[in-house]
Amino acid sequence: MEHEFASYMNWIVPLIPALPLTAFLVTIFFGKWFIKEQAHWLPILAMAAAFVLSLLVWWEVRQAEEGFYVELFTWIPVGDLQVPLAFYADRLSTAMIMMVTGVATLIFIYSKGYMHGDPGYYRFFSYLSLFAFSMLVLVLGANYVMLFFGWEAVGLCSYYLIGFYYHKTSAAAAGKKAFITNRVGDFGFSLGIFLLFVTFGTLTYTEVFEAVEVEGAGTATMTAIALLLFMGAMGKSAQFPLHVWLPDAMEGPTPVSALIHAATMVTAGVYMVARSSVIFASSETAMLVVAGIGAFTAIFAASIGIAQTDIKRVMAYSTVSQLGYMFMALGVGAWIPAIFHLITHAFFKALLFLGSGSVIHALSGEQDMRRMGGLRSRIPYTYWTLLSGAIALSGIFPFAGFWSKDEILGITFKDGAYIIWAVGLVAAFITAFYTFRLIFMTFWNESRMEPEVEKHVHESPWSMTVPLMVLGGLSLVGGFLGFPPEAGVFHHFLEPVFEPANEILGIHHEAFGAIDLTLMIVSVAVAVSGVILAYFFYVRQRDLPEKAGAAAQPLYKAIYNKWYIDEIYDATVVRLVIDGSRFLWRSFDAAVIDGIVNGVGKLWEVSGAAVRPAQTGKVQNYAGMMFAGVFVLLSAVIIAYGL
Amino acid sequence: MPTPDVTPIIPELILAVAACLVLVVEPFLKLDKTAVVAVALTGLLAYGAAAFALLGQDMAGFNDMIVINDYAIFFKVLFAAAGVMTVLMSPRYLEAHDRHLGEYYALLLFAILGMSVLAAARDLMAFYVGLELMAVSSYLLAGFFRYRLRSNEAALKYFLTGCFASAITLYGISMVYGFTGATNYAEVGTALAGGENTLGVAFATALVFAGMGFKVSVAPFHMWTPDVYEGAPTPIAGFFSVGPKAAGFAAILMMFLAVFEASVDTWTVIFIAFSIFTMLVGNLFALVQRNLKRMLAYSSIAHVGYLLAGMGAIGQSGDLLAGEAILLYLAAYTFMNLGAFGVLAYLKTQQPVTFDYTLDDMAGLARRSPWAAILMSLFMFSLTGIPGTAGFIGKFYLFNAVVRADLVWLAAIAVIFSAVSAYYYLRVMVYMFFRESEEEFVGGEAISGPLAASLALAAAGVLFIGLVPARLVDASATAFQNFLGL
Repeated sequence: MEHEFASYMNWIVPLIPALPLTAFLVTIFFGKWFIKEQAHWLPILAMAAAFVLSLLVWWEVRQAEEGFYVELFTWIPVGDLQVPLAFYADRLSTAMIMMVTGVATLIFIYSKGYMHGDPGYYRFFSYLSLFAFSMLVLVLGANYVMLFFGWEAVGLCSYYLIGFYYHKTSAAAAGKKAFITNRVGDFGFSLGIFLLFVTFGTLTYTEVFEAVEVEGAGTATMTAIALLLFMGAMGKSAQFPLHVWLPDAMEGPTPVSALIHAATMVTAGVYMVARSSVIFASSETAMLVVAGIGAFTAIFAASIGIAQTDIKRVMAYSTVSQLGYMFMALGVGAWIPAIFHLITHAFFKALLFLGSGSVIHALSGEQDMRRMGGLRSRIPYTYWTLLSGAIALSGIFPFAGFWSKDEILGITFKDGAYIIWAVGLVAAFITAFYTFRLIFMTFWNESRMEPEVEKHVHESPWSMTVPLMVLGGLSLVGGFLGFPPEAGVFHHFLEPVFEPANEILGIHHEAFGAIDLTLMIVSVAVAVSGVILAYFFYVRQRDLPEKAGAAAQPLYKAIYNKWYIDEIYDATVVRLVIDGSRFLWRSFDAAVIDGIVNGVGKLWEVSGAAVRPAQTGKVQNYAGMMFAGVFVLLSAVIIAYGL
Repeated sequence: MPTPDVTPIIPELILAVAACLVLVVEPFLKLDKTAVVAVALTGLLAYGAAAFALLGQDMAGFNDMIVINDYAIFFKVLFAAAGVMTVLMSPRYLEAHDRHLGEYYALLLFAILGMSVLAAARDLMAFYVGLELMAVSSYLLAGFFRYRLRSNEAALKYFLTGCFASAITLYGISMVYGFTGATNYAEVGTALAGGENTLGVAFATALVFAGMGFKVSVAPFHMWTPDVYEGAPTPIAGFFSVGPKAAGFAAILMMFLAVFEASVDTWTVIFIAFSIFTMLVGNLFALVQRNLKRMLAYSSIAHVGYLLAGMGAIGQSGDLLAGEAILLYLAAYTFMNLGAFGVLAYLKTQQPVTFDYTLDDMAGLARRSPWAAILMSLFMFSLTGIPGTAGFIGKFYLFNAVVRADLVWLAAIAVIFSAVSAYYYLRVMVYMFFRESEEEFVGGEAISGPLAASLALAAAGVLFIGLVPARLVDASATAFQNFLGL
């Protein structure tokens, strides 16, 4: 049954990415001289308009099972490869654009307050708009080439924005690290796309998925494609072992961390795997790898989160860990819970970042939690909203995170993946612990602030607190999109998208039963005990952390140092590359290339005497050269024809 | 005698009228030449628009000497674009040199008229008339600053060597006429294909190649190029580097595919051999230039080398793809190279005395004039062939066609030379962004509106072709296929 889409869909769908693009162009060209401090208006309005249009798209798409496809024109025609500039708004991409435009609008508004007075104000808003455009192209594109374009473009914006304070060495270095780490992932990703094209002869989603379902390809090929694509996801979504760039990316301004490194860009990998669900479902190995990497990253990153003292870094590791949950879910075929968690996570993690930003703003730039404390009554709006986000992240009933996280755990258990379930449960415990460690260290107890900082503590302006409150509300009630569990509005909405993949996997729906209720109670109990433990450690008996740290010295040191991953990379990969390049530079570049270049220069100098008369302008020589050319040419012809 | 149908030459008629109008209007003007510029611009736009309106037509006129079809129209539109950009960047530049005269625009229009005829000719006589009209106008334009030694010298060199080249071409043409008794391409082609005299045909092929090789600066017939670019007014140098080259290739494609079809094996080898030599000479000489106009001159020779490789691919495989790629490349090249010269023209108007087109003059440009530096970088990126720009699309399609003609080794050589070219293109950016200038520069006047429009047009062309190539790819495909249905 083909659904007739309203004709206005033909232009509102392309308009959604076009709006932030326009905002970017206008702001970057006119920002410096004309718009200046008013640079926020156009990007905010464009984003809000895009959000409204997304709602319209949702209204249309919810009436149809299949997606809406609009082709603007052929973008790159090369022989058999025809890449159209086309958008595909199905239920999955619609869910994504609503989230992206909604969260982005709030973060843009927040940025108005946060970035106030920054010399790069217009630059910041223009990059943010460019990012929003790229992200929307990424989720709305109708083929892998557009996905790849958006993928690289969001990356580019991310490097720019991480290095926004480019005069700070650490910021510039962090931008570089993000770039290089992502190159590793993207190398695999682009190979995956090539292999996809070679195998199926097309890159358009609908055609590829149909080909996979109908013809299929060898298991080995499908596994290779899926794993190569997943490599890209590991880079972009910061999964072990390519997670190292994300914590450093916190050098960027806080709204950037919230938008790009929590809510949207880093979830692109999750979106891509969900989008390619048919491909992944065709390979058991790939699914196992996705689930394994996801579960490991979830617990691994959570453990590092315990010992971090920088408020934003705690959040960064928490993001890595939560992304791990999403991949874990994808790996067991729980597509909808993964996307559900992606959306709820976007709400509460954006909130947590913006809240941290508000704390940092209030404390004149202080980010170390050891020099905070007692802020509960000083910045109440920030405290209460942040608390709402923390409860959501910990997975406590009835906040958003509870529904989505519990569903993932529940499905892994019912699927028989007990190890993964256990790992997820432990990670949930650690998550609750480090989240409330952050709350307690920041807001409770007595103040440990520097006196100078303390004098200036102030609640943030409305442009910052209002987005916090909206996100706080969403963190509280957002989970009810998925109520009742596994059969909520959200699930029904997304069901058609994943039907083909579920068919391949042979997944069937089971009714909500006693087992689910038991699992729910278990996971809430685990989360609450994490909170209680944090309360004992950081409020009641504050000498405990030190004692515990001393008792398990090596373990504590290991997690404090992030399991030494950066050091291991430095000692192996980085060392190798640097030594290798130094070797190449000394032996090859200096000796061979320079030799050639200098040699060529020398050659010219030496032969200069001969060439120069002709060069400096004797027209006879020019003519002589021409006749020599003709002579050689004609002689060659004559010899060739054997006269 | 019936009145001839003038439809095939409507665009050319418009251009000729505009050129004459320029000469008529000029004596009535004193210092302000705006009216002349307006006439020239209107003429060019009307010419391009008329050509565009005739899209899809396919007819011949004047005893089949000249045709109008999508192939000819593709080039007419391209020439109109190049002409408009050149005219727009000229007024301020000429004023800065105290030589803003109307005949400059008339000569430019006549040169374009010649090019237009060259691309539309289907007869050796019409071909030669077009060639000479283009050439004679070019000699005068090269020496337009006649009180300047360098300009004078350039014109004289161009003229003398140009005469030799014309003579060589004519010699080849006369041999063809001698063998076949015909001048119409189609008739000549058929006659030659059935003829016996293979050595004679090969001889004529080689001579016409050498003559045309001069026009598009194939090494070793290229020696005039750097001197002429250096001596000619900068907008004209930019125009020379794109317009006559495109016209030359329009004629070369037609000549060798239609007239010399019989000697395809011979000319394939010639084109491939000269392609390698031209790439070598162009790139290596460009490496050591410190004067940007000379660097661009040698780099334009290198680009001709790539295009010759495309011709070799056509001869090798008879594949349509290479022909389409050549048209595409010429279009991409027009915008990026003219744009680069436009930036130089702008800098010269800013510093008429101190700016001497050397690399050192570019030092610190990013600080003095960030927009000029950004635009120059865009054009340099495009000339290098960085993805996202027109140059990449051009090279991609061209080298792809060469590979498909089973000339992988030739494509590999071309790619290696492209990599070498990055050195001298990107060096300009090193100077603009990372070197500080030694002297203090006083801020010149603001950029003039027309010049800004010209640069914007070039940049838009580079980005449009680079980011959304499909339109142009389709256009060049239709144009070339249409031409083959000769």
